Amino acid sequence: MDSTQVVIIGGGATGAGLLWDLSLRGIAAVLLEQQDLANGATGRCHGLLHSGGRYAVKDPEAAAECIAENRILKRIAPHCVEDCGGLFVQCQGDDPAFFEEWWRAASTLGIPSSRLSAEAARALEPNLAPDLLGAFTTPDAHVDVFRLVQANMEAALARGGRVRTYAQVRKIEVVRGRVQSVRFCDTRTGEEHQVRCEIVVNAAGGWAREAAALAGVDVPLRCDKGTLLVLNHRLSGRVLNRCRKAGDGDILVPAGPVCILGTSSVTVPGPDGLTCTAEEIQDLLNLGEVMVPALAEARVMRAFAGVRPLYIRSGAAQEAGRQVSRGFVLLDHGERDGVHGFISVLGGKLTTYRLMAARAADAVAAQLGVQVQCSTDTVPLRAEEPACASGLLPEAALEKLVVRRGADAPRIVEAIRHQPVLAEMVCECELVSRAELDFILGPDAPLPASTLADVGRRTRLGFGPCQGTFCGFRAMLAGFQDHRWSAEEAVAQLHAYIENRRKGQLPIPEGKQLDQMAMGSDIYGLDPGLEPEVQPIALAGGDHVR
Amino acid sequence: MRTDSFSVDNCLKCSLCNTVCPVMGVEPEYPGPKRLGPELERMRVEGVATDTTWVEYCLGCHRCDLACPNQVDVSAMIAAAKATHRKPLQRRLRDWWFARPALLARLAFVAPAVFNLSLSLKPVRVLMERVMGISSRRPFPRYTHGLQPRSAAQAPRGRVAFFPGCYIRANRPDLAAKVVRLLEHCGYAVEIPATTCCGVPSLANGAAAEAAAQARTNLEHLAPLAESGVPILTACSSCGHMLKTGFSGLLEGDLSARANQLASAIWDLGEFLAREAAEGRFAGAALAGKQRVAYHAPCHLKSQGIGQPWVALLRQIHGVTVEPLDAGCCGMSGTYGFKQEKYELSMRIGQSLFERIDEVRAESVASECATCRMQIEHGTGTRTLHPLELLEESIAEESRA
Amino acid sequence: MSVDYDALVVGSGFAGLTAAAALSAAGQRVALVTTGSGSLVFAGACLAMPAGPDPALRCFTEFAAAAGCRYTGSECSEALLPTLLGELQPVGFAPHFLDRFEATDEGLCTVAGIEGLSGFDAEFLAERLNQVAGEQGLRRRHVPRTLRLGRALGVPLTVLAIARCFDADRAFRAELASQLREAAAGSDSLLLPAMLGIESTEHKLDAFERAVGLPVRELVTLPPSVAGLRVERLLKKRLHALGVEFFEGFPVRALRLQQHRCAQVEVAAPARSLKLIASAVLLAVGRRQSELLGLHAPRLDERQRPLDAAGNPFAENVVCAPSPAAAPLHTANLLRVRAGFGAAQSVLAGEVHLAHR
Repeated sequence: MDSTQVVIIGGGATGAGLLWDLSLRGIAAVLLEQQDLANGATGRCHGLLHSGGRYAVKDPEAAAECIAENRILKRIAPHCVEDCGGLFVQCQGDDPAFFEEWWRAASTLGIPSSRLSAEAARALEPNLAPDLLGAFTTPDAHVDVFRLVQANMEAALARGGRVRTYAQVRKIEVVRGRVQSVRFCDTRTGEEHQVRCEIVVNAAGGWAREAAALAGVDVPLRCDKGTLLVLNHRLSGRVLNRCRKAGDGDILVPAGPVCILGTSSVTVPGPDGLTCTAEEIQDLLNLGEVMVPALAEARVMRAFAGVRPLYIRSGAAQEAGRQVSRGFVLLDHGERDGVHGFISVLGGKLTTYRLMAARAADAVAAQLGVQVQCSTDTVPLRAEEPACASGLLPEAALEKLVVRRGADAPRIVEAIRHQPVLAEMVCECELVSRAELDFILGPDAPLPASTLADVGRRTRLGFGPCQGTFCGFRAMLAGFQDHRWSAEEAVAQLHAYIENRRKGQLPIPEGKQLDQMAMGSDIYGLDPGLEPEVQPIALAGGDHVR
Repeated sequence: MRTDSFSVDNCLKCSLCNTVCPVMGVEPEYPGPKRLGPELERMRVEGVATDTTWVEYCLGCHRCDLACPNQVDVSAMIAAAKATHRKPLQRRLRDWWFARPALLARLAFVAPAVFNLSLSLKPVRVLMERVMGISSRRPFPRYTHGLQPRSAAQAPRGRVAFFPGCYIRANRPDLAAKVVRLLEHCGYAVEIPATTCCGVPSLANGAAAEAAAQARTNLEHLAPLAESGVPILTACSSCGHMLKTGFSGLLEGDLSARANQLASAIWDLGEFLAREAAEGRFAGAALAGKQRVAYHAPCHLKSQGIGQPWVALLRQIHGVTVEPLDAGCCGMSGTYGFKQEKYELSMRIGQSLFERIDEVRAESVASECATCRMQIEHGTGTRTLHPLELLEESIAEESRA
Repeated sequence: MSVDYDALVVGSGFAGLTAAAALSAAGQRVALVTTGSGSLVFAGACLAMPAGPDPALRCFTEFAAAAGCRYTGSECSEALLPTLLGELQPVGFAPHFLDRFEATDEGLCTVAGIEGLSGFDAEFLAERLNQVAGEQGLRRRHVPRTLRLGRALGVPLTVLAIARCFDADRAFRAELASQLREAAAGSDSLLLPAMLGIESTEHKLDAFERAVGLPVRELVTLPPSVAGLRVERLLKKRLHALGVEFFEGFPVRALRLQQHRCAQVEVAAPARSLKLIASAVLLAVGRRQSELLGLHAPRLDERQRPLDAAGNPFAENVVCAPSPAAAPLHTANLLRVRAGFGAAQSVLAGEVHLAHR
């Protein structure tokens, strides 16, 4: 039987961050993820690296954590963060008293901010509403969630950490009140495996209740669904927050070539089977248009939903979604439930993933008697970006490749030098070359990809306007040519992928994206018949909706 | 066509733009309008470094825009990229001149004979190629003393204004005289206001600020006419295209609004005469003898969306048989074909047109665009003319009779 | 007021082109207003099998044949059309040079790919077609070959680059034919990605096939499909030759009504609308018709005139080729042909003309 010191359940930001933290402390760990990396809430959020501004008034404690983590992440993971800054926008009709309250709270918390007149704000962001009242600047930023999770995992792998994707935990073996091993199943092959360990950390996010149950423990959790929209191009260069009590449709985050509008807040029974309805989408757009009227015209490319897993503290069960603290919780099930060596880390938000991981790692280290302190706040996730030969790829493609692949970029460029045909842009929207695709599908990739959707999460392939219609085909063909898949498997891959990409497009309103999808149906001979207006589309738990 | 920043959202990645791009047809390495336009546009908005020498190779023919089933303003995105593109010094210097044809013409006006002579001397041209990157194989048009502005007298049908553009002003003022006679024949008084270059060469050479300056100058002279209801006519399809579509995007605020108003007063000469003909006020006359004329529709006529009015007008002339060529872009694209590094490409683009002209065996080729005519003469040796010349000749013959 | 055209057709997909063909064949002066390309170009321009003799389909295929693009098919038996995924779609009529399977076909087919060609792999397609054919009990077998082109046509190599070279360069065609002849030696047919020229008439392709020495068939690739583009170019060229006047690149902005008739069609040309006057207006713009008419998915009367909410014709002289309801592509295409043909018949019947003509 395989053995390790710690098993981490969940391949989101928290799990990946924990793996990295433990690796830095020299603690052996295996991360088990039931799907692929960043499948849950991590991969289904704005990618907003909070400055704390959003919580400044309501929850100063969370805000203070945010601004501290904001600074740390910009330092340790610059390749994952686009330090674009943000604006808190004062819209017509919003409460001026709140603006002042916000301003005081922000300065108390030390969130750097300055006041902008309406003209100055519009000069920075021409798509802001012409009748806005003013704005405050903040150090909000965008973080590429997939890249962040990869970066943590890759850094951990280099220090001996291990990751298994498509590994669904079936049972946490507890013998005499102490965790002994974890049994899991490789969902691709159906094979059962077991790994002996001293400690299990449940970082399963929305699935934490299910994971805890495998050890016979109950963790009360409420799933709060947020729906988000991806717009085809950036409507703002900065993160835009509406300066009012947090509500729906009031955050717009520029994310690479696209921008993301969110979000809603609805309690749902669980993390699986999420749906986005046309009404929700229209509501989001209507609300967003108050701040950015251009949303009325912009092309919605995709809708997706994720759950915020909110831990229910006793007595707070009845409170509505946004009232429950977004702060996180660490449960030691030895103390709480008599299951020693089992820890759950729950709640929290993307911005504070590192802090959550650090606290969880502290608890693990204490139980294992390891003295090493946390250093994830100072050790960069990735070494300096290497120099790459220029002239083999277009400038923009090279820039994106280097940011995505870091130390692996030079060898990808070298592959193109030897075989110029590998310079082909498989994904034209996100400039993913054939050479990069071959690397990601190949044996040298730190986190090998099993499906086209996996390739997407590692490269952003298929994240552009065609939503996989063109690049999916080329990537499938590459998988065949690289001997990853037989012709039959390759076609099955493509069908699954296209179907998956369509789910996020079906509920969106009439417009160019539906034309785009119709073109895809014609190309692949798919049934064009689903009526988007009437049919809420299930986004099954296993889908990767970004 | 969408001309706002949402134009990029209309792209469905279908690549139809690439299927009509004349440059892609002969230069396989050229990334094409889809890549240089909407695809890189999303990256430009993102702030990624997207500059590439290839943007210089866009002809600005607008065929991609017309082929797009979703009205993406592809070539405007490429033109904007040209404006921020960085070129090596030699091309920068040369393109500075190419962006200012009116300035070049003013130099020529001092002593056109000397100017023409020196431009025809082989050693001069070799030197120009070495120093400035202007192809020695490309003949220059002959320069004249130029064209003077004129004001309009009274006439039964009122006043029209004529915008000659650089070529007619500097190289063929006789065409302006013919335009005046044609319009007077229709009963109009013709004014030729003082104007400058329309700005097409500036935009094509990445000098957006210069194009904006030219637009302001032209607007200053033309807007009052437009505002008092005087139609403004051009006989150059590129000038017409620019005056109709180019100014408002270069200017801001009130000026941009005035540019839109000006645009609606701009008429291609053929478009104007066709309307006169449709309303029964004008008809071509007969020409002695019979001639077969091939007709080449310039890209910038197509981009005006007015059909091909000259085909019908020429068909009105008794004795003239018109053969529309429909054989693609000529490849000249104004100053493009003069550039040393683009000369070959320019000729290869024109190849299918040249072949078609040889096939048709017409005595002459008519086209509204001056540089299309230069390219056709250079590529085929066939005589070229502006279609207005035939029409004017027929009217003149008729009145002599 | 003078009338510029007898009929003005808006849209150049299957419906618009069929309508323009039917109208100009009947001696009408026709103008065609179109923005870019229509429904033909994204795939192979194929049509489903009609339930029986179909005059609309006949009109279209005769028009296509005259344009140098003959269709092969039958009104009583379906064939199978391989897709780029190596799957088989039922098809009625397809351009002659597209590959089609009959259930009874046997023999050996060489699938020829080109080294470095983006979006096509002969090994993949042959493996997949053999697998699918095996599952469906078909007997044609496929063997892959990959050729290296004798000249550099860009990296990545695209079917478009090959097609344009094929169009322009006789020597290239001859080279390619001899390479293919060698590669396919011993087999009964040859399957290529659609790349044999955008401008090629069937005459040119017949000659190419003779040079190769065995049946040459193409497979539709990712858009832009050279097969579909070719059909569209040839059909438009034919209409041109028939005297149809084209207004390409700008959408119709509005239909101006006067006394229950469309008096003027405004095309959104730059700076100033282009105003066209026609006795009858035929809309073949698919889903855009709702927007142009200001009526959401209007019903049509028996003459294919759109009706407003009160059940009155939108205008006496406006007919529609309605957009087909969601249907598989080839079926939708057939419906488009029928819709265009029907609308043209309605115009020709004279019922929608201006009274004073």
